Amino acid sequence: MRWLLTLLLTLSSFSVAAESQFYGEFQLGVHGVQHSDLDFHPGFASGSVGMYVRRHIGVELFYDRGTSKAREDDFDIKVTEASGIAARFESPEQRGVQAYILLGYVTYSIDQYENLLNSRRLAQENFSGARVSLGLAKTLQRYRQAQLVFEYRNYDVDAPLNVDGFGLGIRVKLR
Amino acid sequence: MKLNSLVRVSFFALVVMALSGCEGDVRDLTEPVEANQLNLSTLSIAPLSSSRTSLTVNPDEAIAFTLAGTDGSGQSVDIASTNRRWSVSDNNIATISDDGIFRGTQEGVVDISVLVGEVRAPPFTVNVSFGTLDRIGEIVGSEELQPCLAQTYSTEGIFTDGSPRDLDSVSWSIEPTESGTLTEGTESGSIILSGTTSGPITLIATSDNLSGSKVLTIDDSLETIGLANGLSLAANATLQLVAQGNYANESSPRDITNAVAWSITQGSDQAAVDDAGLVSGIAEGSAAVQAACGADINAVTNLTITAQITQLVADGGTDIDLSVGQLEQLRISTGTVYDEDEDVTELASWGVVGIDNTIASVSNVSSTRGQVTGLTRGEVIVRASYNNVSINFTIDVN
Repeated sequence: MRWLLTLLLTLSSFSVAAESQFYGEFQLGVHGVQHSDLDFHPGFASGSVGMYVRRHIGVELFYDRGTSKAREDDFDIKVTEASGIAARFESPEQRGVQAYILLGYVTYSIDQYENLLNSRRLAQENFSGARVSLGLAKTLQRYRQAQLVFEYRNYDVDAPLNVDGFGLGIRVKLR
Repeated sequence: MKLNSLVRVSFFALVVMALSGCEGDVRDLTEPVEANQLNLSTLSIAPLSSSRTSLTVNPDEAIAFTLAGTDGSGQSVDIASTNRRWSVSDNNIATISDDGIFRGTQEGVVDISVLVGEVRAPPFTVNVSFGTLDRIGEIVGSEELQPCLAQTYSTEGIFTDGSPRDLDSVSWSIEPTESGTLTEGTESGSIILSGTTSGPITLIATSDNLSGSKVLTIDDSLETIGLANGLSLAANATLQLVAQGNYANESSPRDITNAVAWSITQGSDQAAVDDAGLVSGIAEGSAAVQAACGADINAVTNLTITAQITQLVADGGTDIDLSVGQLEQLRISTGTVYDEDEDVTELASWGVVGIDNTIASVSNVSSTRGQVTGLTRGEVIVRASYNNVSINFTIDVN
């Protein structure tokens, strides 16, 4: 709840809401989940909605949903869901391409199944931490309100676990 | 105005990230994998420096605990004791850290437990009770010793609350002092005694100015000491001597190398010997080495110290061509030309240089030392070392 309060207070401090532009984004991608010499690549779908509070500066909410499990040795892993809040900083557009960085906070859940002879054993854990994403967005020629995006994201977590991922998607700016 | 917005959003991002210190226990995911990979079947908890199956400690006293594990076939497996989910049954009585450091806070009884994956160790009971050392407990160990055969003795403290506890520091001594030697034991409160002179001997344990003692008897069963004769070594070489004790009513001798007193009785400029019977050649000549158990029983062997070895030479050269699957015996001797009489093939240490031993293998096992076998095509270096001198063979497998 603290981060939601922070979001509301921050948004309310911008008195120029009339200038604001909303946007939405949808991505499909794969996570990289590594620990104990195992490397999993479960799939995910991600959606976000946000608002530009100034040109090239936005604040957004995001939600990810795991789409597939990944198997390594006797284990299956799925990042079941993730959600959070982030601030977006974009570069000026050069030849239709922008770079951006997202800095925020994410909570996410990981399900890990151990496949035994006749059964499966489930370990579930919830994590939270900082989210950092780096990406490129290419504006579409025919529909300039839309951009193709390619993004690398990293969810902060204590070693030896590492959670990151790549996503490919589309962002639409709405007035 | 734009700068103002940038500052606000940056501030927002920083606040969000600052609030988002990592949370979540990674061990929920890593420990099942660890347990699976180890085939972990059982876990047990034990104090780091004690073999006790339960403990009594004072409040505020810190004790380190460790983990031991076995796999499905009952073999022990290496499992770290740190960064674990240790727990105590009552946090009002004691706490335990993730690294297994237990600390009592008030009097009471608690059980320590730990879980790795789905494998839980049986609880280990600790009684937190205040007490001070009241007396030294019984010294446990055999009342009879054979000369130069070590025996382990141990004791514990009896505290004012009646509990037996390990003693942090025990000072051990013997009377008469020349009747034996003492070596620190592997466990807390233990000592290893090797008697040398037949007759009675008193073993004394002292801690916090309190003492306990036990009267022992060293028998006269050691009849002679055996040492190999006719040995030689190079001036830059070492030679391990072995002392064999021949005891009455025993058909085979016992190895008492580490219990006897070693000394050079003649030729100290030519050789030196350490407490474990390892002789080092110093200069060409001869030396006499003595192994003694007490004042009356000893043995002496005469050693010949030859000139320093400066070179090893191969029989037939060092470039070896092999085909895959072919076996060849490599031979080396001291000197500049291979001499069968100076062959040290069986005395040398053999190995493949580097970590890639897929091209050829070489035996370093008695009676087959120096046998090289081609495994796959390629080139590899095989090295033989003797008395700090090495020779390399280039093995070309094709």
